[in-house]
Amino acid sequence: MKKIMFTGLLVSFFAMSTVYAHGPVRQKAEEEITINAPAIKVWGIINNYDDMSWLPGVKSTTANKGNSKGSVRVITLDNGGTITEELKKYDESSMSYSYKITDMSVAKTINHAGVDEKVPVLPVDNYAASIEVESKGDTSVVAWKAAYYRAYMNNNPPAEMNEEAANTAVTTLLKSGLTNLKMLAEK
Amino acid sequence: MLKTNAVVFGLLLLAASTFVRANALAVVTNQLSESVSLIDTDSRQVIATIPVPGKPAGVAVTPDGKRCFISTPEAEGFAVIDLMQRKLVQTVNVGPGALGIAVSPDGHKLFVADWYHNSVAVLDTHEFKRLTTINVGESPSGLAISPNNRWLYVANRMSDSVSKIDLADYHVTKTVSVGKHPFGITLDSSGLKLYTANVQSDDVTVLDATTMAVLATVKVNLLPYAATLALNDSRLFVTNQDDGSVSVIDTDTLKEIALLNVGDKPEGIDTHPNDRSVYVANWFDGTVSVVDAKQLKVIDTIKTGEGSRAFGRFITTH
Repeated sequence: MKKIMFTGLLVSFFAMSTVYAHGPVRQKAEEEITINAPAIKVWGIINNYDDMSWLPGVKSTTANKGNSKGSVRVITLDNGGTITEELKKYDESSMSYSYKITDMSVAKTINHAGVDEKVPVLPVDNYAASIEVESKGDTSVVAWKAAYYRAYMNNNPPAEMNEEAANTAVTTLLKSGLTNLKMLAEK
Repeated sequence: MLKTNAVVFGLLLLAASTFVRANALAVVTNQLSESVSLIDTDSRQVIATIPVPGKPAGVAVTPDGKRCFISTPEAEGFAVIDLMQRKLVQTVNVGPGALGIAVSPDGHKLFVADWYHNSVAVLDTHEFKRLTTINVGESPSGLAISPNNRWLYVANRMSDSVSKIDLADYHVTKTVSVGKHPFGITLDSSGLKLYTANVQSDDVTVLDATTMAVLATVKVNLLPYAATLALNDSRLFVTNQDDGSVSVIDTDTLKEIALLNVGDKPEGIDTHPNDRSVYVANWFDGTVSVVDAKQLKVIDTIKTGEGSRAFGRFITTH
């Protein structure tokens, strides 16, 4: 019995020290905005994968293969942080594209449970998103959706890397992007 | 015997007509709203929404259609739902990473994969006593049991492999490499072929379920999650999470013959007992798409709850 308990402890120890991709529960965020401008005009602002200048806080964007599937863009933020994203799907006819974060720079390092944890610029993991412009006569509706996990993949996350931190950061990002897009398109 | 059953049935009908049903139910877990939606597959309406705490994810229905088991990772176990009374009747603790869940075709054994402990717990379905714990590969997820109740197959997600277990003595007879990060697995009705949906390599591995030889690898779409068979095992339907679609594969030619748009982030998928309607849980949209396997089109979309996953075999046989 003792032996079994000891083995159990060892197993728990290994499980905790390994990073799992899907232990926590996947989260989602979705924001929509109605813009008083034709869809074609709105799509024209966001349709270049290598141009994220419409998103507040972005300094520059580069992409290696333009709007082709697999194109990798690096978004450099005003604060120097970077987010790398791969284009997964691009559909001109439905005015939409999907992408996935493949890498991010570290915003800060915190100590949690005796271990140094790197908090990425967007405190999420395994982030996939899509943006779509829908035509509604003279106006348009833009929907920006994201699915992701919290940044901390083990049990008992620190406050900087829990679900709330992830949800707040993503929702803020989507909202500020859409609000600014509306402003640009309605100008 | 039949006569007796008919009498009993009649009495039950009189006693509690609301608890009697003849239609197959689809049991859909809504992970973010922490509930389970019961869909009557005749009317295609949600007839009950049952609160289930613990971020419900996986589903296993009993062969008699009277109960189902819902894995609850954050409650470290599973919940038992009485499908006649339509309520949660019991919760059972298993381990910290309870996710994949399945019942043997004879209805006697329940299997719960533990994502964190790299094992599968085997329990009896009456008192939920643990019969044994089988060590498998890393982060076991999808489970499948052969129709003769002899073999258990486990997808080891982080080990990129599938283990075959002999349920006569609970030992792992073989572990073979498949695509990257296998998640959902499905076995054909004769128990001869096994299909694994590989999340990271965007493909499906086809295995000989007897020898565990890899027969083929079929490319599907972005982030395949789970699969189900329909029309006499002739068609395999695979959910592609990040593509919002279902790939339809001809199991003879192993070619993708159609790509159907469903809701956003489709996850769990299962086939109705009519062998023709395929139900797909759309995680992002909180809906279920119903696909007609013959016409190859979506014939209905049903609103369920937030974060519909329905991972496992979630439709009762009657």
